Amino acid sequence: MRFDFLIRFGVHKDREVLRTLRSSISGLVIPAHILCYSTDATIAAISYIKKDYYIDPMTFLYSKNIKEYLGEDRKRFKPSIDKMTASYGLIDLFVKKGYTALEVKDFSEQMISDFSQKSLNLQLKKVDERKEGAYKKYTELLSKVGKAHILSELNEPHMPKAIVPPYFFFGNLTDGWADLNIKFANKTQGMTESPIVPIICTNIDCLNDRLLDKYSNFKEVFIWIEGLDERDAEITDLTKYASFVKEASEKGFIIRNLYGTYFSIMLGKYGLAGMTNGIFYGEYKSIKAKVGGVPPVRYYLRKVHQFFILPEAIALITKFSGLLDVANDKVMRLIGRDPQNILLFEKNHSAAQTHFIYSREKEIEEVDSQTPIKLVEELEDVFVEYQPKVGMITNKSLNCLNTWASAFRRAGELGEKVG
Amino acid sequence: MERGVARYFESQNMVVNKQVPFTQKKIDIVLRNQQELWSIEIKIHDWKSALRQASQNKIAFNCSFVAVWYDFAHRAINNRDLFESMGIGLMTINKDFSANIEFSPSDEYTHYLSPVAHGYILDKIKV
Repeated sequence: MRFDFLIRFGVHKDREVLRTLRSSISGLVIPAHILCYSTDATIAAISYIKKDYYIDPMTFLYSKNIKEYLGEDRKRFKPSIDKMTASYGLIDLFVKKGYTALEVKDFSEQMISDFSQKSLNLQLKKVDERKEGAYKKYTELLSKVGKAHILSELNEPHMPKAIVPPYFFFGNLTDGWADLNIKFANKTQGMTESPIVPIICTNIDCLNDRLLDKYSNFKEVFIWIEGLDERDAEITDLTKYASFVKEASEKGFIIRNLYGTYFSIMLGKYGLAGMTNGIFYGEYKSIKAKVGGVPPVRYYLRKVHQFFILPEAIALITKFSGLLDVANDKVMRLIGRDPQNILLFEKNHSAAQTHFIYSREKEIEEVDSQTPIKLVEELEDVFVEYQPKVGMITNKSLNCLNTWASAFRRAGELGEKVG
Repeated sequence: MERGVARYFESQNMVVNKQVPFTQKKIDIVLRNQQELWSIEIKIHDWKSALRQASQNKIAFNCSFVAVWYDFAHRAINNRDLFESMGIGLMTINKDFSANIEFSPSDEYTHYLSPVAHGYILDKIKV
C-alpha cells in the first residue's frame, strides 16, 4: 500500500498548485473552520483539485486554551471559529459558559448525540448544500477543469473519504476525555454508513496497547501526538511513537499521522499508512497553537530533511554541492539545475510550494524503494558527513537525523549502529 | 554600532545602505564601493554568528565581510583560516567607529557570485 501524503488545506490561493500537483498528493485535510468561514471558496477548491478529502472537525479547540480563539472583544470567537461553532449548534452553550473551555461534565448523552449529528451534517452535507452557489461564484475558475465537470458534479454528491468524529485532547486514558472521544466515534458510526476515521489526539505517554484496545471498533485512525516535534524529540519518545505505529499496524489498524516529518515517512516501513503536512508547515502541532496565518517561503533540502530560509539553502548548496537534489529530476527542472534560481522562489510562491511537494514525494518514493536498514544507514551517513559542516553557514542542527536513526533502529530491532 | 559604522563609510564617500533585505534575512550594511557591492555583518563579539550570516550573503556580493568591535576582534583574527576557507573578510571597528580591514575575502570565492542574487540586491539599494 502506498504511503498517503495528505495536504492540510490552509490558504485558498494554494489551490492552483494543489490542482497542478494532484498526482503528487493523496488528498486533502480541510479544517472545518475554513469550510465554514469561506464556504464557497473551499467548495470550489474541493471541486477544482478533485482529490479525496477529509474534514477535520477541529473540535479540540473547545476544550483547551479557548481564549486563543476569541475575537478582540473577548466576547465571542474569531469569525471562522464562530461560524464553525454555529454549525455545531454550540453558540448558546458558550454564551452561557462565558466562553470558557468545555469540560467532560458538559457532555450529556443528548449533547453528544446532537453534536455528532451536526458534525456529521457539516461533513456530509455542507459541500452539496452550498455547491450550486459556489459553482456560480467560481464559474470561471471551475471552467478551467471543464464545464462538463461542473455539470456532472452538480448532480453527484460530494463525499469526504471518511467521517472524522468530534474529538478532544486527552492526557491519560482515565481523564474522561478519552472515553468521551470513543462515545463520539461510536455515536457517529451509528449515524452513517460512511467509514469513520477517529483522530486520536493525545500525548506520547498514552501510546500503548490499552489505547489501541479502546479504538478496536475502528479500522482506520489518525494520530496526533500533541506537541511531538520530531525534530526536537528525545530518542525514547520517537521510539515509543515508532513502536506504537508498528504495534497498531500489526493489530490491523490503518494508522496515519495528522502531522509529521521525514521520520514519519520512514515509519511507513513499520506500517504508518500516511501523514499530513501544510505547505511549508504542519510537521507538528501543539493544541495550544494558534490557527491561521500564512507560512513563510522556505526551501527544503531533502538530503538533510530540513527547511532553510532561501539564502541559507543557497549558501549550503553552493558550498556543499552534495546537497543539491540531483536525483530529483522534477526539482532540478524547477530550479534549472542552478541553486541561484532558488532565490526566485521568494517572488514565485507557487514554485516554492511545488518544490516542497516534489521533495516530499521523492522522500516517499525513496523510503518505499529501500530496506529499513539501508534507510537508517543513509541517515547516519548524512549526519556524519554534514553535521560538522553546516554549522559554518546555519545555526540549525542536524542532530535529529541521528536521533531518528537511533529510534528507528530500536523500534525495528535493527541492532545498534556499527562503528 | 551599526549607525556609527555607517557614518564612517559615508564619510569615506561610499554609498551606504542599512538593513538591506535579502529575502528572509537582513544585511546590516551594504556598501557600493566603485563598481563593487560589499556586505558587512556587524557584531560586537559574536563573530561566529556574523560569519554564518556573511556566508549566506556571499553569493550576492563581490566582497562579504564580518565586522567586530576592536576589543573582541582578536578572537576572530585568531580564526583567520576559517574565514579564508569560507571566503569571508574581516574588519575591526575602532572606538571612533572607523573600520580597518584586517584581511579581505580570498579571491577564490568570487566564483560564487550569482547574477540573480547580485541583481536582487541592486534592486533593493540606493546606488
